[in-house]
Amino acid sequence: MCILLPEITLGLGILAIIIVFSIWKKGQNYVTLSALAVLIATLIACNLGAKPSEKLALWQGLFIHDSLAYYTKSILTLGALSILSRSYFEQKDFTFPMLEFNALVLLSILGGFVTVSAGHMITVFLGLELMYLPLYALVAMRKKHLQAQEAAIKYLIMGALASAFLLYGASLLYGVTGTMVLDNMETSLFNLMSVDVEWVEKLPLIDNYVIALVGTVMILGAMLFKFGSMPFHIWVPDVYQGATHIAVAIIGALPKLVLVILWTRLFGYQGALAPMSEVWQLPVYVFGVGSIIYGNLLGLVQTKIKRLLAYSSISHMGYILLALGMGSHIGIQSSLYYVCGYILVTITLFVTLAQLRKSGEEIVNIEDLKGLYSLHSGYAVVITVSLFSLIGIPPIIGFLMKMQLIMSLIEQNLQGIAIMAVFGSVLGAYYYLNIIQLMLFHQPEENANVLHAHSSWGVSGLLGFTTICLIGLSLKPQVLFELIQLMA
Amino acid sequence: MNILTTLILESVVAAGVLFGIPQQQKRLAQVIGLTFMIISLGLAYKLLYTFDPSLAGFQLVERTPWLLDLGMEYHFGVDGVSVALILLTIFMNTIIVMCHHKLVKHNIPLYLSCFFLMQGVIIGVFSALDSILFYFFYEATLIPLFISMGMFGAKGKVRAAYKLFLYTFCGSAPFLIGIIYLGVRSGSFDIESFFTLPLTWHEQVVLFMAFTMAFAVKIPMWPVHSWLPDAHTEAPTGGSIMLAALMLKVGAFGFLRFNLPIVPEASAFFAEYMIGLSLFSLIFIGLVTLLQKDIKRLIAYSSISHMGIVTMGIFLMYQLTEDAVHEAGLLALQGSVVQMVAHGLSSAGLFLAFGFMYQRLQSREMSSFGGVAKSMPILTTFFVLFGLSNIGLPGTGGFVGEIMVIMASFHVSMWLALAASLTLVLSASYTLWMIKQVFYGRITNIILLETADIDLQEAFVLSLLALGVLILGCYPEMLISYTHQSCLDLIETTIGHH
Repeated sequence: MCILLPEITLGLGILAIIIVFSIWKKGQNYVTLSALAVLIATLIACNLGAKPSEKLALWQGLFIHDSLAYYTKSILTLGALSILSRSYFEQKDFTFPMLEFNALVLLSILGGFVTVSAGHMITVFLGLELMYLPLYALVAMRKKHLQAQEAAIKYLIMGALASAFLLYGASLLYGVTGTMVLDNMETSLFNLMSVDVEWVEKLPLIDNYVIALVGTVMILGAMLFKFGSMPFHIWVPDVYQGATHIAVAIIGALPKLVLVILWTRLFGYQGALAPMSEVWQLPVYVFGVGSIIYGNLLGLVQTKIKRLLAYSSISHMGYILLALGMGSHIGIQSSLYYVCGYILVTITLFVTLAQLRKSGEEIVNIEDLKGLYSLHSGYAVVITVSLFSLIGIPPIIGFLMKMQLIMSLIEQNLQGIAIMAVFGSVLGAYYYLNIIQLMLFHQPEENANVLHAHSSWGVSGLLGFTTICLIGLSLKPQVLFELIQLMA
Repeated sequence: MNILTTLILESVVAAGVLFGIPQQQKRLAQVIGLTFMIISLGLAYKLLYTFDPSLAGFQLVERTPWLLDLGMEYHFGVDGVSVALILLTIFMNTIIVMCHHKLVKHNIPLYLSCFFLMQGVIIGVFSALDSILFYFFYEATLIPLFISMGMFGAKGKVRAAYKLFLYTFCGSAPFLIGIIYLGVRSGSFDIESFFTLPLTWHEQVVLFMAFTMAFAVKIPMWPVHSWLPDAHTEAPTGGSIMLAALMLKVGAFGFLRFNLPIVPEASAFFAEYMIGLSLFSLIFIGLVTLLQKDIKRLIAYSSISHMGIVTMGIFLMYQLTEDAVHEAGLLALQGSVVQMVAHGLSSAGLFLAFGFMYQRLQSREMSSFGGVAKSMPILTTFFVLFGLSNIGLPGTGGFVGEIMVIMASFHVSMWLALAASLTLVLSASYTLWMIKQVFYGRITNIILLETADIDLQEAFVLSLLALGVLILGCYPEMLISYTHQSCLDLIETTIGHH
């Protein structure tokens, strides 16, 4: 029972918050505080149980507990904690209904918990839906904002389509292998792929082979969809554009980690679909490189900050896909390293952007940031550091993320892909530099609406801490690296 | 803690402290800047005396784990060449700190912070013995350069800053892949472990190309030079000094540290092409320089042309016969090192002297000057001295380096020496022409009549540089004896492989 403690704590906490605060209407100011308390309790619960030395499977493999899930849950909780603490410190600024916002974020985290512990196709589906449905609602929370509604509907329809693909692929694989448990599926597929008989006897197997192939491709498609990588990236810019900055901080960061873990379970070196690697490996490389180049090229022409960062996220998903495509142990490690760094940067960047206001609205255009340094130098520095990290300039963590990825690519003898990945990042440097130069090198326009910034000690402390982490983790990378090695 | 790490940390801490000071606190920033400058000088003194130039190999080595799983270490150490360049770095930063108030009026803390950061990072480049650490510092130089150029530069600063950043970033991409490939092959990123790595011919060629792309951009060599004139023109004076005196040397230093010892056979194969490119950039860019109307642009182009001598000297030894290599090859290599330092001093002097002039007249066009010597005789003296060193007049630093390389090139062929000595003619023509246009003749600009000459502080800073130029010109043995052993080492590793 102790294994399920984090989920139980979080689930009960969410229920308690929803019940208490829908009755106690006057207590809306305490919602975020109690959400934070629930998260802290969850964090404690995550670390109460001993670190599992080997994979534990509950209920015939429906629920898995291993070191990967153990540490991921803590990271997810910490991420949510940092984002919600921002809304706690900036409560006055909040236009959303408090209760809904916090409950949705917590529910999404719960979905993430279920997904990372999933050892069965049904749990995978359940977890993913539980994680994504609240996110659709988070995008839609700006009720009077037309773009937000459009984005939410797009996100919902696209997401539902992807889930349908996932389910269909899963059922095809079930038809072939006769099991939904990921471990058994791997054994069964392995046997299917390694049959070596006369062609006459193979005929019935060819059918099975084709079905397994279609199922794999469908699951791959669904995963690429959720990652938002090319060629299933169309929803990303619109969703980023429609959601508030703080919602993007959640959408853009936390699900990515969950997806990497899920990928490890499905396609990793002991994953369910690992025997099919000759089917999916090449497309993953192609789409990975494609995402890097496509995202960076389209980023060059953007004028809206969130669209730009959406394209940037597409290109970064490309890097993660390259690492995941290797399927090997070192590939998984470098993708985990990359995604952890990416989460840190994304949260820092979007929380900072959420602090800025132009004529009472969130900033939309890149031009709005003009002259930020002379107005609010602290925020300009934080944004600059995170953007340099996204470019991959030392001494910031982005450099080590890319370096480790390239190193593992070269270790697998994929020099060509490594070269394309590095030159892709050169392409992207231009648009990040554009933001930096607007903030630092220009004076704000006199007559224009002045750029305001909220400031509270809590958020400043949070951003200061994450910025120091961004630099410190590249000077002392051993810390994060050891964590990754414990995970996988 | 080792003296090198202390130096780097001290500079970075200085940058951090200065960055934290609010813009208005000018005095405080200046006091803190001066304090850190004095500490740097003290450390430089200590470095000079703990380093023993007669020993072979790297000295003052320090190794601390960085990310051991990937084979990365904080691994510092110096040889004679890097000590010379580190001392030059600290000297240049001292110059910049001492005269910053004459050149910049707003946001002095940030200005000083940028240059202290640059000092630390460049010292890191010169003393890193781990290839990833080298790349780490090599790329990190972009941040202070980009920011100082953008915050304090002239009108076209944004475009120039972009060009600088993207050229270097693009050039260093293949370099990164190259060192990671070597690291994967050897199991560690230690540069010394690459020296003994057996590489196939094919690998050597590809790696040579990858390294050359990075360093040729930084030096810059002919087809990839176009960022430098823009960067020099738009950068603030301090940025120009750092660029001319040190950034260009980072490229040449990269050749010495990576190309020659790691891929010696490919270097030998490509040596003639590199010499050809150097000669071409020496003469072609020299001719382009003649056409410049903007003074800063002219100095920038002359830098490119003069760096041609350096790259030529580096690759000359491969063209020499077995018995000549130990004498002439050494001469050429040492000539390059002397030329690196001498060019650093003289071009920094030119940029600084022009910076003082620009502060008074706010123009870079040669046509808007004329007869400056009448109203600013002291400045003119200094400018002409640095100009003469740039030409390579005997008695100045510029002479020594050039003559050493040209002498070595005689051992290869007389025609090569003849072509190389064209640089003397060309640089004499453009430098003297510029001096004539700007300093002599009638006063064409009315503002000049009311312009005061440089004051004591400015003259003091310039005389420091002038002293450097003259000492190097009259007694080059000081520098040569320092770098002798490490040049010899380099030839041993390189030719030994060969």
